[in-house]
Amino acid sequence: MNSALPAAVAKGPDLSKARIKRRYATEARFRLYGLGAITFAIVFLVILLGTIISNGYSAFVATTIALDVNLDKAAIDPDGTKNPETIAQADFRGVVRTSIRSLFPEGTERSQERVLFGIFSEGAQYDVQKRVVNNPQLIGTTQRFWVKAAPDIDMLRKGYLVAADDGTARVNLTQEGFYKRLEKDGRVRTEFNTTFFTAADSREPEQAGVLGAMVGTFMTLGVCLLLVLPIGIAAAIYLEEFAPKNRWTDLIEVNINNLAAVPSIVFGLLGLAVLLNWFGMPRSAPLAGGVVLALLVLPTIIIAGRSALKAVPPSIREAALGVGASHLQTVGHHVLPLAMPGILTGTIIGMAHALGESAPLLMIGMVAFVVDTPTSLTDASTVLPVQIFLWADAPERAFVERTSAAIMVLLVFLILMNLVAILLRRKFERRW
Amino acid sequence: MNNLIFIAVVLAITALAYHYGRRHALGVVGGKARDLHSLPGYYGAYVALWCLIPAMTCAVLWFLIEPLVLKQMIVGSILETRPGLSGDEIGLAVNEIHSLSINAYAFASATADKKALVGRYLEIKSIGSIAMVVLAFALAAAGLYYARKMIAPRLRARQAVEKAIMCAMIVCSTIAVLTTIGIVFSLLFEAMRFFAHVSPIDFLFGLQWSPQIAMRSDQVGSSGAFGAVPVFAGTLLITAISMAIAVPIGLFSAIYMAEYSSHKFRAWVKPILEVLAGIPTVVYGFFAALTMAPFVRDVGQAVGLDVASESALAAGIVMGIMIIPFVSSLSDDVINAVPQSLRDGAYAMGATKSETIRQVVIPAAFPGIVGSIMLAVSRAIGETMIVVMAAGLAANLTANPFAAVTTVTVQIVTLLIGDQEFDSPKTLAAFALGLVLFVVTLILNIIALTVVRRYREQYE
Amino acid sequence: MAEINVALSARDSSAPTGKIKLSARNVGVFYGAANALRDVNMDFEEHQVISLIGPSGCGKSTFLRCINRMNDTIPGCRVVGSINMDGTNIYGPDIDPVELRARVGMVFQKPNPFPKSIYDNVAYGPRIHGMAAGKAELDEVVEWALRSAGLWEEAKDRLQQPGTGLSGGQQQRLCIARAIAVHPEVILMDEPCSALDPIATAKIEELIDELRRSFTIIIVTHSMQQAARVSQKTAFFHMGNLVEEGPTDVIFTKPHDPRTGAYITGRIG
Repeated sequence: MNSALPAAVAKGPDLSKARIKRRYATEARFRLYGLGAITFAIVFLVILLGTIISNGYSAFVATTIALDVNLDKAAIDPDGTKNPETIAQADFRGVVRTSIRSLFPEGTERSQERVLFGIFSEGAQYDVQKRVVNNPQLIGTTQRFWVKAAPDIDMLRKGYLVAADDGTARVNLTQEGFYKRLEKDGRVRTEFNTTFFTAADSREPEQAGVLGAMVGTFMTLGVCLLLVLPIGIAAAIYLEEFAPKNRWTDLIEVNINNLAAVPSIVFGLLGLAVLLNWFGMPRSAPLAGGVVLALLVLPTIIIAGRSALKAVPPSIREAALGVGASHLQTVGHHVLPLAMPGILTGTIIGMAHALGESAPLLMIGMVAFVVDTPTSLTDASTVLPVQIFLWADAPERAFVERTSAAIMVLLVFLILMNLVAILLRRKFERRW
Repeated sequence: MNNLIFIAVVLAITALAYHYGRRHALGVVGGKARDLHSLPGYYGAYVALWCLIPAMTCAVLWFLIEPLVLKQMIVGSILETRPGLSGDEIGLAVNEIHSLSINAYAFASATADKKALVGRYLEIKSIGSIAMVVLAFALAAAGLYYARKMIAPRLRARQAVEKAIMCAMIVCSTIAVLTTIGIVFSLLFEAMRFFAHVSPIDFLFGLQWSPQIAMRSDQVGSSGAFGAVPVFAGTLLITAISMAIAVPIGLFSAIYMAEYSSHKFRAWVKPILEVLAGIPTVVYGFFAALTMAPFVRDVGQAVGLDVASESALAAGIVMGIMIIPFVSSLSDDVINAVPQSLRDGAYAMGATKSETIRQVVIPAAFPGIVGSIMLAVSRAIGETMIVVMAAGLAANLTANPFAAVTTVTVQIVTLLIGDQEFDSPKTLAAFALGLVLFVVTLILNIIALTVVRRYREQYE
Repeated sequence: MAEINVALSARDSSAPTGKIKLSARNVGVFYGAANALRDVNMDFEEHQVISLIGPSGCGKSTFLRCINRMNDTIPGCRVVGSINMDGTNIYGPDIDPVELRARVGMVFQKPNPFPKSIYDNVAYGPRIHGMAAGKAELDEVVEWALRSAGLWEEAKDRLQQPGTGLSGGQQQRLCIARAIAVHPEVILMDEPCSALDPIATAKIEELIDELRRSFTIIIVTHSMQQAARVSQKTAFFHMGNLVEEGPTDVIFTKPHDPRTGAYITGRIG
C-alpha cells in the first residue's frame, strides 16, 4: 500500500536533535557575522575619531614663554620719531635675541646660542614689533611678552617628542636643558591657542590657523547655496509638478540620477576646462569653487526636493485648484510651503556634502598656499578640507596635531549642519 | 566687484519697475482693483520682468561671448608686434596675455611690449564692459516703455507672468543636462588635443606610465610615456581591496539591520553607520596615511613581508570602510523591498531565519544587491582624496597588495596641481584619464540604476 | 486525478478516524494592547478538512497563524492559551517553531513561489530538512509532490524554469506541492483561492479533497460555498470570538447562534 510513496517522503523531515542543533548553530553563526560586521564598522569609527581627537586636542593649546624684552630706544627708534613706519623698520630680531640672551646671564657659548634661540618661535619678533608700533610709548621700557615657543619645544612639552643627542632627534639635550630651566623659573605656561582661530595658513606651524580656510569655506558655500537653492527648487518644482511625461523629461530624470553618481573630481575637470580656461574666472577663488560645488550638489538637491514635493498629498492641490487658483498659484501658495522643510533639510545635507568636498576644488587651484584671509569672492583662497589636505602633507609633528584639530573643526561644522537638518525634520515632520 | 554693482543696480531698477507697474495699473482703472483682469501685483511683476529679462539676457550673453570677442580683438594687436605667428603660437600668446592681465605679480615682471599688449587687452575689455552696461540699461528702459504701454485692464498679466516663471523653471531643470553636456564636451575636447600628441592605442594599452619625465621640452627624454595600463591596474587593485572589505561587511550589516535587529537597535546603529558616510573623504585620507599605512607596514614586517609605506592595501582598506555605509544602506533598501510573503513562505516550511535569508531573501534581492555593489564600485573608482593621500605616485604594474600603486584619480590630481602650461601633453593627459573615468563610472551607474529600478518595479 | 489516488496512499484512510490531531484551549492573541482573538476552544480531527469562516478582521487568519506559530514572526504579537498537537502543547517551552512548521505546513492567500526554478521551489523543504540522501531521491520527492499537487503533467518539461512564470492557479498548486513535499501532518491554508479564477479554484478544491486522505487540512475561506464544498467541519468566527463550530452541514442548515445564521444568509459580513 505504501509502494507509491517515495522512501524519502515516508521518512518525513529529519527533525533529529543533532540536525536541528546543527541548523541552529549555523543560525547563530550567521547572526554573529551580522553583528560582527556592525561591530567592525562601529569600532573603526571609534578608532578613527579617537585617533583624530587624541592627535588633535592638544592643538587648541599652545606653549608660551615669558620673555622680558628691553625695548631699547637706541635699537628701535634712536631719533625718537615715534613714527610707526620708522619703528616697524627697526631690528626687532636683534632686540628679541638680546632679551633671550639676558635670560641666561651667566652667558652661553656662541655655538649654543642658535640652540637657545631655537626655543622661541620665529614669530616672536613680529609680536613685539606689532605691540610697539601700536604703542610707541613702550619704547625705553622693559615689557614682559608671552611669546610662542618653537613648535619642537611645544611638542616636547606636550610629550610628543623626546630629546636626545643622537643627531636625529629634533630637540637635543642642551636645548632641553635650556627649556627645563625656563620651566623651573616659571617662565613657561600653556594657554589657549587663539592663533589657530585668528590666523590664516603659514609655513610655521605655531603661526598657522584655520581662519583663512574658514572664511574661504563660507564664501565658497555661500556662492554654492545662492546658486543651488533657487535653481534646485525651480527644477524640482518643474519636474515634479509641471513636466509632461515624455522622452525629454525622462532624459532629464535619468541624467540627474546619473549625475548624482559621477565622481566629484570630474566636476573639478569641468570647472577647470570651462570656468577657468573658457570663462577666465580667477583661479583658486571662492567664486569658481562655489559654482563647481553647486553643479556637484544640484542633482542631490533636486532629488531631495522632488521627494519632498511628492510627499504633499494630492488632496491639497485639488483643494486649491477647486477654489480657482491657477496651477502655479496652487504650487506657490500651498504645495511649496508644505514641502519647504523637506527641501531645506535636503539642501542642508547637500551643503554638508559640499563642505566636506575637496577633490574638485584641487582641480581649480584652491590648493594654493594662501597666507592672507580672503576678502572677496575673487581672491585666492582655500577651504577647510583642502587646508587639511595641505597640512596633512607637511612633515612636522606640529602639523599632524593641527591637521587633526582642523578636522575636528570641520567635523563640528558638519555635526551642526546635520543637527539643524534633523531638528528641522523633527519639527516639521508631518504624517498625512 | 563691478559685476556685483551692475547686478545690484539692475535689481534695484526691477524693484522700482514693479512698484511703478503696480501703481500705474491701479491708476488706469482709477484704483478699483476689481476692474483689472489680474491682481495688481501681477502687473507690477509684468513690468519688472520686462526690465529684468532684457538687461540680464544682454549681460549673460556678453559673459558667454566676451572671451571669444576679446581673443579676436587682441589677435590683431599681437600680430602687429609679432608678425608671422602660427595658429598655436597665437593661442599661447593670447592665453599668456590673459593670465598676465589677472596676475599683478607676473605682470610686474613682464616685458615692455607684453605690458603694452596687456594694457590694450584691458582697454578692449573695459570698453566692451561699458558698451554692455549701456546696452543693458537701454534694453531695460525699452522694456519698461513697452510694458507700460501694454498695461490695460484686459491685459492678462497673470498668464504672462506665469509663463515667464514656467520658462525660468524649465531653464533651471535643464541645467543638470547642460552640466552633463559640459562634462562630455570639455573632457572630449581636451582629450582630443591629448590624442593629437599620443595615440589612443598607446594610451589605452601602453604598459609604461611616466608623464612626469616631460617637464621641459629641451629636457632629455622629453617625450614622456603615456601608457595608462598600470594606472588602470592600480585603480582596479585598490577598488578590489576596498570591495573585499565593503561588500561583506556592508551586506552583513544590512542583513542584520533588516532582518534581526530590534527597532531600538536599528534606531541607534543606523545613524552611527551614517556618520561613517558623512565623514569627509579627506579625513579618511589623513587616517589612511597617518595611521593605517604605518599599521599595515608594521604588521607586514612583523610577519616578514615587504610592505611599501604607501601600500595599496592601506588605501584599499580605508576606502572599503568608507564605502561600507554606502553598500549597507543601498542593500538595506533592497532587502526591505523583498515582500514579506516570501519570508512567510520559507518560515512556513520550517526554515530557520538564516536559511530564509540565505536561500530566499538574498536570491530574491540579488539583482538589487548587484546594482548596489556596482554603484559602490563606481564610487570606489572615482574616489580621490583617500588615494591621493595614501596611495603612491609611481605607476607599478602589479597585483601585489603590499606594493605601492597609483590610480586614475591620483594621476589626474598630480598632473593638474601646480602651475604648468595648460597645453602640454602632461596636463592634457589628465583630461584623457578623466574621460576614461567618466565613461567607466557612467556605464556602471547607468547599468546599476537600471537594474535597481527594474528590481523595484518587480516588487511594487 | 488518478495519479493522486495512487500517490497519496501513504497515511491513507479515506474516512476520518476520529482521532483528535489538534486541540486549542483558551487561545487568545494580542497585538500590543489590542486583543485580536479571545478564548478559542476547538478540536481538530485527523484527516478532515476544517474551514474557518467569518467576516474580515474576525480573527480567523490570526487563529490559523497560531497553529504553526507564524505569529512569532510578527513583532509585538503575543499568544496566550495552549494548542496541543498529538497531546503536546506547541507553545510549550521546549518546542521549536522550526520543528513545528516542518510538521504543520502552510499555504498562503497570494501564491508566493520563491524566485527560483519550479524544481528548487519544491525541493526547498526536503533540502533544509535533510530528507533526501541524493539527487535521485530528491528527484523522486519533487515528482511525488508535484504529482500530488496535480501539477506534474504541466510542469515536468519546465522544471528548471522559474516558478514565478507559472499562471496564478499553477503557482498556488506549486506552493501546495512545496508544502506537502516535507510531508507535514497538518496543512494550513489561508484563503488559498482568493486570488484565483473560478477554474483554478475548482482545481484546488478538488485537490484539497484528495489531500485530506493524507493530511489534516485547516482552511480559512471567505467563500461559504467553498466551505460547504470542501470541509467536513466548519467554525464561525466573529469579532475575535469563536461563535460556533460543528459539522459543516449542521452549521449551514441549522446554526445554533443567530449571528452564524445572519452571516450565512449574508446579513453580516
